[in-house]
Amino acid sequence: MSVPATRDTAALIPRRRNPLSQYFSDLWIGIVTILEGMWVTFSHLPKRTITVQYPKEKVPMYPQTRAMLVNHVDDCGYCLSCKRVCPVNIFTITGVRADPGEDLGILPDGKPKKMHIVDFKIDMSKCVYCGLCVEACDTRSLRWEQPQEKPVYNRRDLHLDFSGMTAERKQELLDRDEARKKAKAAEAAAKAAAPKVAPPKPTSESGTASSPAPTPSDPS
Amino acid sequence: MTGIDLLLSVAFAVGVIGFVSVFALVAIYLERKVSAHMQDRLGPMETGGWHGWSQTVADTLKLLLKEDIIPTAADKPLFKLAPFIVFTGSFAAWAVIPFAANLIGADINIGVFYLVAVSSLGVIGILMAGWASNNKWALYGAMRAAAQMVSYEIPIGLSLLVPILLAESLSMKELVEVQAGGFWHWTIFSHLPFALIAFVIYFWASLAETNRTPFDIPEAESELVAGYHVEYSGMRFAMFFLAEYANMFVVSAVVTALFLGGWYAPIPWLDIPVETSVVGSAAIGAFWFSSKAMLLVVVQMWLRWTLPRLRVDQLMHICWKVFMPFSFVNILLLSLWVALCQ
Amino acid sequence: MSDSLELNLSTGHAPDLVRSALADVEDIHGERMSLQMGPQHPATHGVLRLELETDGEMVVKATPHIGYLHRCFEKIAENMTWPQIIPYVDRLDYCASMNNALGFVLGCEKLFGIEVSERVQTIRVLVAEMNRVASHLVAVGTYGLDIGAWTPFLFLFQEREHLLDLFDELSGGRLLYNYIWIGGLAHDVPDGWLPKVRDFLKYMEPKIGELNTLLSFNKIFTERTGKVAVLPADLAIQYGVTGPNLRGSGVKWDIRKAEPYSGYETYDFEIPVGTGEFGIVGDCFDRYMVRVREMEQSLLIMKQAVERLEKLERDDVQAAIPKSFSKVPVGEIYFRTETPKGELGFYIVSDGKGKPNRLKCRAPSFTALSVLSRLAPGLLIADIVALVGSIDIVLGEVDR
Repeated sequence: MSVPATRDTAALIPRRRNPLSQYFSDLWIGIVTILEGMWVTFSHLPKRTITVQYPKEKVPMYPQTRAMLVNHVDDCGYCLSCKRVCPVNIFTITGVRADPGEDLGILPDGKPKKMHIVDFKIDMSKCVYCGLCVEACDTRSLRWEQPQEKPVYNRRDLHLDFSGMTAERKQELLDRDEARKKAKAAEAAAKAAAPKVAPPKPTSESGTASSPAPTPSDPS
Repeated sequence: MTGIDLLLSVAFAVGVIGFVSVFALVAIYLERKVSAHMQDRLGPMETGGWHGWSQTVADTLKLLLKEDIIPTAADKPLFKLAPFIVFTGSFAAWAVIPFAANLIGADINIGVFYLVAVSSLGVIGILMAGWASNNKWALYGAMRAAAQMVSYEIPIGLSLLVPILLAESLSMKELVEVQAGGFWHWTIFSHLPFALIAFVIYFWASLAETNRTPFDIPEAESELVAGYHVEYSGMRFAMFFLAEYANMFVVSAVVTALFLGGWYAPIPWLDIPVETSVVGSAAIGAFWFSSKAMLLVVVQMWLRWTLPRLRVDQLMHICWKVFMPFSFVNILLLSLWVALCQ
Repeated sequence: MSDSLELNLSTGHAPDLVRSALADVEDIHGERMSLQMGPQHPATHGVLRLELETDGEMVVKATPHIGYLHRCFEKIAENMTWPQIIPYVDRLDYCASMNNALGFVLGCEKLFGIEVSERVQTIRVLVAEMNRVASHLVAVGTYGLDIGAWTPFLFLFQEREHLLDLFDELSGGRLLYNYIWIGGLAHDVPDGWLPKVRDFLKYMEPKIGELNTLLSFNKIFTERTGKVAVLPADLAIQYGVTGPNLRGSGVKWDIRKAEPYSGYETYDFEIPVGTGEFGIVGDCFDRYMVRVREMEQSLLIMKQAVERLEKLERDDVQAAIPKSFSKVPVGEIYFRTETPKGELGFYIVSDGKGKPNRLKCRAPSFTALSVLSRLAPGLLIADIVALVGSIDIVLGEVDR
């Protein structure tokens, strides 16, 4: 018995017969089809199994497989395209403008890097793996990588930070930004106050730099 | 009954309990491996090292250690009792199974009758389980099981009449002994058309008795979730499981004893007569008997992993409109043939 | 005597079943029992809850309850920019993401007046048909599982695995792709991908024959599905049932032929319809078999598409993507495509502000489910399982 690719079903289905021959043909078809089915399952017994014994053998992943978002922060120009296209808002990005003389290197698109990326947090627990951010990244700093396994024990561990900075360095940069903003504000206040001779008051701008939301004022 | 007899009976019972447990472990492992390889999978591969041989042992330990949950609204005494009744039903049948000429629990002169009687004990347990669970799915499963098992007793009884008619005995031992001397003397081959039909009908009907696919409608998982044992967990669930596999072996053993020559080897000179060596005869007899029965168990698994499930009315249709008339005609023709030719 | 049973006679149910249903209800007056099937039940294909009113094993009334997977897709879409909606559209019918995205994207493109190149169109057809096969493999495999056959299910998932691998290599996702974009594709096919599709086609063809031997023409299977839950053509049309369920009732209606899109008019394929070979036209078996035969047709389309793609020069598949979605034309459109589940329609209203003003999705699974309560009376519980499986609903699409 072999497995036919297609079968003429009409030959198998008797119609409008008398009940007795219908009864026997039903019985016969039942026996034949059961035996055929048993042959199919039997023919699979000696076949090579397809199971992959996972921890022992691993299936290589394709380079475009969406497994883990990774940001190479040296190439990141703080353009916020990724944050803008993300449908579920998983990015928390904070940048601090470099000092005028500071050299942060050149971005892959040829422009000089102007921003310190103080925070580049990705909440992978919210990610829907649509890949829009990776496609939107002009400098290709945000990429998919394919670690074989990346399970964590705590959901907080899925909040990845790619800034590559120590907390002290972060604080230093933020403080510098704060100071610079304060100085700017004071300068502006002084300028505004000069003709009117009014006491300088703190502006609302001074508080924004330390908040998690990035200042939208300085795209690269 | 003398003291020695009693002692021997107890020893046999203990041995059978051990055999049932070991057989169930092996059979579950086998079922997993057979199904896995039929589906191009590997099955359990980790536990115990080589091909996951101790997976079922580990599973049994897990089941024994699990919390035994009894639903609040359940009928507690019945709920607790049911699995043991089911198990008793299938376990009691082992008493008359002739493993070898001198290895049989009780060679009672109504062996087959006893077997049919105790194997229908299980349905009471199933009905109790389904009722006591206080779950509608379980109740459906129990009702289906009752209808199915009671109906299928009849074709089973009728097809068992064929070897009984030929051997003119109800004793399991005598039923086997008439088949001595090579596979061409086995009932299934020696009285070919009648015994073959009876064999097929008994084997298929016994699938319904043991609730195996394609007749697994009492526990149909895609319809009734798990049927009558949906509320059971841990040890009690393991009892149902054990009973199912014990039952599988019982029906295969009955087929072996009645149709496939029992403990006799296919070729006569492979046997060791009792006169030569008591232990050797028992061992070789048990070997052939278990091998044949195991082969049939594998066929049951093969069917399970091939076929879809029948509907309730189709199940009844097959029982009453296919198996019954064929059994009756079979018995009638055989009786005529016996009366006229022998 | 309930109205539902009277209705049932007119729907051409298997007569003996209906008669016995009538006999049961009228003569015995058995006490009716309400049975909650789902949302956690192995045969409801997700989180569908069926409230069954049963008389013994007979179902007198079935009420589907939905909403367990409701995600406010339409409202969320109003707050998303156009490209951001596609990941959500993917998740409607998660067995056939490409087809969903294709429907939405084609609607948007027609509304915005975007023309895509032939290569993009051909790739879209190829991936849509691949996903149709993948979806039907799930439908057919789980249907076998509903009927009680385990092995075909695992065989078919093996076949599907090859397709998912191909999708993984193509788009990076195995189930949800976000590959078809408004105005193009995420990227062109990778090198060496088309030969793999060819290998799959070669591998898949004998597998359908094997499925037919193992499951489709098995006597037990044909008995379980033939003559069960017959959906006559007129009733199907009244209820707006589409796709394989409608074709199972013998109606030759396929959007790919009736209103061709994405170049489907240039492909050579046929529309399989139910023939009633194991009972009455429109029974469960016909709905099942239409899917099996559609897989064969999809393989044919895939073959043609691969042949064309091998001849077509590579071009920029993102060429037609608008530079900015905040200045798209104002207007509204209803666009329908043929997904594996049936006719998926998107009613899109654009006010030109970068986000849709309103997005309405006409889900084929939802309409298919609506006919269930009409077909259910008079069936046995086992038949309800066969019926739910044969209309092949995906709860992600029913609830949206």
